[in-house]
Amino acid sequence: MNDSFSLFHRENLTLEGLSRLYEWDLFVAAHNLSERVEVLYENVPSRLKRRLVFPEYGLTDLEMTDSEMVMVHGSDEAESVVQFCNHLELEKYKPGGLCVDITGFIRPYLLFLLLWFHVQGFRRVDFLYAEPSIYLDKEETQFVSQEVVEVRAVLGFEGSHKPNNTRQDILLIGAGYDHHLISAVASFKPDARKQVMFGFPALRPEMYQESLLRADWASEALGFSEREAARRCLAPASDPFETANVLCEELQIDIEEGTNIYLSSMGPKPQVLGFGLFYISKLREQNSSSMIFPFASRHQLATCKGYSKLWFYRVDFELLTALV
Amino acid sequence: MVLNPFAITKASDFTDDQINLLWVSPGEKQFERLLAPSQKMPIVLFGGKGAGKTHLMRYYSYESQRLRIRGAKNLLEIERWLGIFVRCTGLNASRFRGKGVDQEVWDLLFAYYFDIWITQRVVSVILDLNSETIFESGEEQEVVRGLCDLFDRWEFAEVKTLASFLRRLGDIQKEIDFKVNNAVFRRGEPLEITILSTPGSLIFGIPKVVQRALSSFKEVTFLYLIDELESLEAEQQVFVNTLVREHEGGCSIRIGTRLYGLRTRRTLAAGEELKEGSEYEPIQLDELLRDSGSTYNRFARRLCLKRLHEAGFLRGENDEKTIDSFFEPRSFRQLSDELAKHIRDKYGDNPPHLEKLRRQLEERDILSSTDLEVAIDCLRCQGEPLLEKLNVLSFYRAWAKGAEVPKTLDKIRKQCRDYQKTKERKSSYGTSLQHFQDDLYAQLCRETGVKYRYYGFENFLQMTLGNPRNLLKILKQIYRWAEFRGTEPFRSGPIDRELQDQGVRETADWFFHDALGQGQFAERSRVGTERLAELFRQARYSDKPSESSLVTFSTNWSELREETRSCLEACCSSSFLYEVSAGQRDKNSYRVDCKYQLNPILSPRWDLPIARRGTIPLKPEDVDSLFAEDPSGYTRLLRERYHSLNAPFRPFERHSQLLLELKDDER
Repeated sequence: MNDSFSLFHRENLTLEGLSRLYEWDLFVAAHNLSERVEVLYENVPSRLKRRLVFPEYGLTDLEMTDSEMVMVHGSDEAESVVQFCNHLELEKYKPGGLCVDITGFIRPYLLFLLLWFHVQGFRRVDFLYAEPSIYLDKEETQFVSQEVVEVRAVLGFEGSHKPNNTRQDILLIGAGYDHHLISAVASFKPDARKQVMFGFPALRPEMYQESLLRADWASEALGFSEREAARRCLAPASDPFETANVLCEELQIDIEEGTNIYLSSMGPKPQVLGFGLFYISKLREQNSSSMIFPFASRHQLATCKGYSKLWFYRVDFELLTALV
Repeated sequence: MVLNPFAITKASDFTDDQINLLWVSPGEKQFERLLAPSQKMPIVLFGGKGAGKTHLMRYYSYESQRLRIRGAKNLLEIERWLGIFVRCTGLNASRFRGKGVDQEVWDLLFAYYFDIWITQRVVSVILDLNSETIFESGEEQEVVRGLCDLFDRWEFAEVKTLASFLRRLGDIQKEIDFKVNNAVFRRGEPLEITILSTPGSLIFGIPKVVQRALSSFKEVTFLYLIDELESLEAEQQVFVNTLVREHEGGCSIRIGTRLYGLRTRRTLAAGEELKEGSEYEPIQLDELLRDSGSTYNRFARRLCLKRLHEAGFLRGENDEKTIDSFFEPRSFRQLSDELAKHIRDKYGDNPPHLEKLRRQLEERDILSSTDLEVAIDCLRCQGEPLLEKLNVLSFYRAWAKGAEVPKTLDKIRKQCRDYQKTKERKSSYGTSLQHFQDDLYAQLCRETGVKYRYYGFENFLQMTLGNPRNLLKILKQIYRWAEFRGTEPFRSGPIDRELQDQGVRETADWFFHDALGQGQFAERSRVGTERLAELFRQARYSDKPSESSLVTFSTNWSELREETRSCLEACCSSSFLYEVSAGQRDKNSYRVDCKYQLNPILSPRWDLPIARRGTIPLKPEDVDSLFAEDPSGYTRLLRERYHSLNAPFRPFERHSQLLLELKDDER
């Protein structure tokens, strides 16, 4: 059992608890229309607050009336992240004092931001995640509203792969609700061995069943047959560190053998954080690994109702570097 | 546990062993000849998802060759070619763009990377062959020297063996990867990668070096099998096109790509374009199978029997038709008899289609109540609901034309009686029945609450024409349902129609979601296909279907909007639609319009026919509205067509004449 990521601190809090225990210099969130994002933004104890507006949410200028809003521009996720980090002068917070709400973040931006913190030598950054009460259309909920434009590696998470028989490659997918995204990624690496990670325990009990149903719709692309149960793995949907531990466990042999590894995280944001941490600490140096993602032109502004739980994660980058 | 023999539907999920084991050819070496490994002219193999490109290409790969033929020397002597199979997705080619680097630099670097990548594959294959010691004394050193000489700059001082040459190539690749991947953190700075060889010099040089140095390779062609070309961007394809155009002796190239996957025909040769016919031979795999229905049918039957055989469901030699016997059959006659009984039992003398007509005539106040009963009686055909439906259809047609009611009724009644007596299929009534019987049957099913079902192996073949994966998926789903119901499919008795229908419908739904491509027009092509199918459904279930078995439309391509054309191409690329090669002659201008058919695998989603007969001509602006983001044009089109296909069309004038003479005649 690999538990090196268990050293990181995570905590389940109430809003009151959060205000009592923490205070930050800068709080950064990704703006969307979900109630949970709004509630957290309003109540988080921070001297400065900024909302990032991602172009994929398709907000018009009229809808961006708030002076705390920062429009994200850039030709790709890396340029965009560097642009808003410079704009917000995030480097000032290298020793601490920065908190990021990952709830509304678009996944590739979140991954690159994490890598940017690591590369820039941040000591620690706190992350918050607000769980929803329910997704609006249950297992039918679509988070991505337009077609997949392309599947490619997330910038900064690109590896050096071996040109051997690609049937030996492995693709580990963190499953979310969008089955067409799962299909797109699986079809991008058609002959790789596929493994799917589901969030369990899920954010809400019914969400585990719902995500299984959605993944089943992509079963043809995943190439699952009678042996499908053996190719699933589980990690808590709200725990990035345990997710990273599970990834260590599942991919240990492949890492040792230098297999071409592809990861794709489309599940809950805490799991995305976990995939990012795992990649940075265990795969970035190993080299023959990439994090791929199905990029879409639009994302839904509101996909869920309510707000149920609040999670706090502290990423200690010095500890992360030690794990490398 | 008995495994589903159709569980694997993609060649990419096969092991190399299965690629050989489950290989099927429709005729004597028909597929083996298709890619003609010894032919020097490059071939571009086009095909939709599931057409069988990858199986074909992997069959030719070294990994499969090795399992087919025992002994390295035998392989070289018997086959005289070595298949180097490369998937373009493995290159992760999207890395070679952006990051503040000029596209020209990226293109140059990609070409170099592609060369290094393929060279590693070739050297791995030669090393694997040499595990049986095919090199004679001093040959390996000569090969290594020759390979190192292919580079413009000598960086191989330590390289003495092929294995160390391969490691050196790996180091070169890693260095490129490192700089390419980290360019994102050094935006605007030069990449500082030294290109050590001229693009193409390695790919074309290796065969020559090996053939010169190794006696066992003298007659061996290096067959580069480059699959998934569609994953490369147009600028990257320019380099591959150049390789195709300028291929040299000792090797040949086979490219596998989706329909429309060849984004450009440009080459690096002073803007010269790649010429079809003289520089490469195109093969449209699904079209090839589709256009020769008998080839596909034979191939598909063999494919299924092979699966059943390998899974232990069948033993010994089996007739090709054996597969059909596993599915519960029903002739159209049996089906219509069953339906007639159901209608008689449920509705007596007042079947829904006659009741509907009665209501429509009453609402319009066209006939007096006495005449109305006489008219309905004229159309009635006791115990033969299909003929009754055809009578009603004929009446609707006359109604739409504004014909005279008594004459119309008289004519329909006479034609129907004649047909009942003679069963003459060549009469206009008989022909009309033949053309519309499936549509009328579908209407009857809908009106009387009977499920319209898709079943029978012949129909599966028709639905999947040219696409074996769709056929395997249907059988996979049927097997799953049959097993879930506790039956033993393909082992005891035929599979019942309900289970067959379930499998088919699930496959249709899966295909609609799975086939969706990527890119700017993918989503609109899906929406457009849905709208088109809705238009066909509306026509099929209307009072007066304009065409029988309608799943096809024609239009004037030159007047379509540019983005509509792109959507239609995306539809064909995803195989939502097929372009019918002969096109359709416009009745007024004699212009040949382009013609598109809805893929019959999708028909069950909208209860549409699987056979193609009629074609509706659509105005370019109507086709534009199908694919437009704004749905208002499409809604208007749907409404207009609804009114033209459903009563009251153009209303008959109020009829004063009593129809009693028709009634008397009846007596």
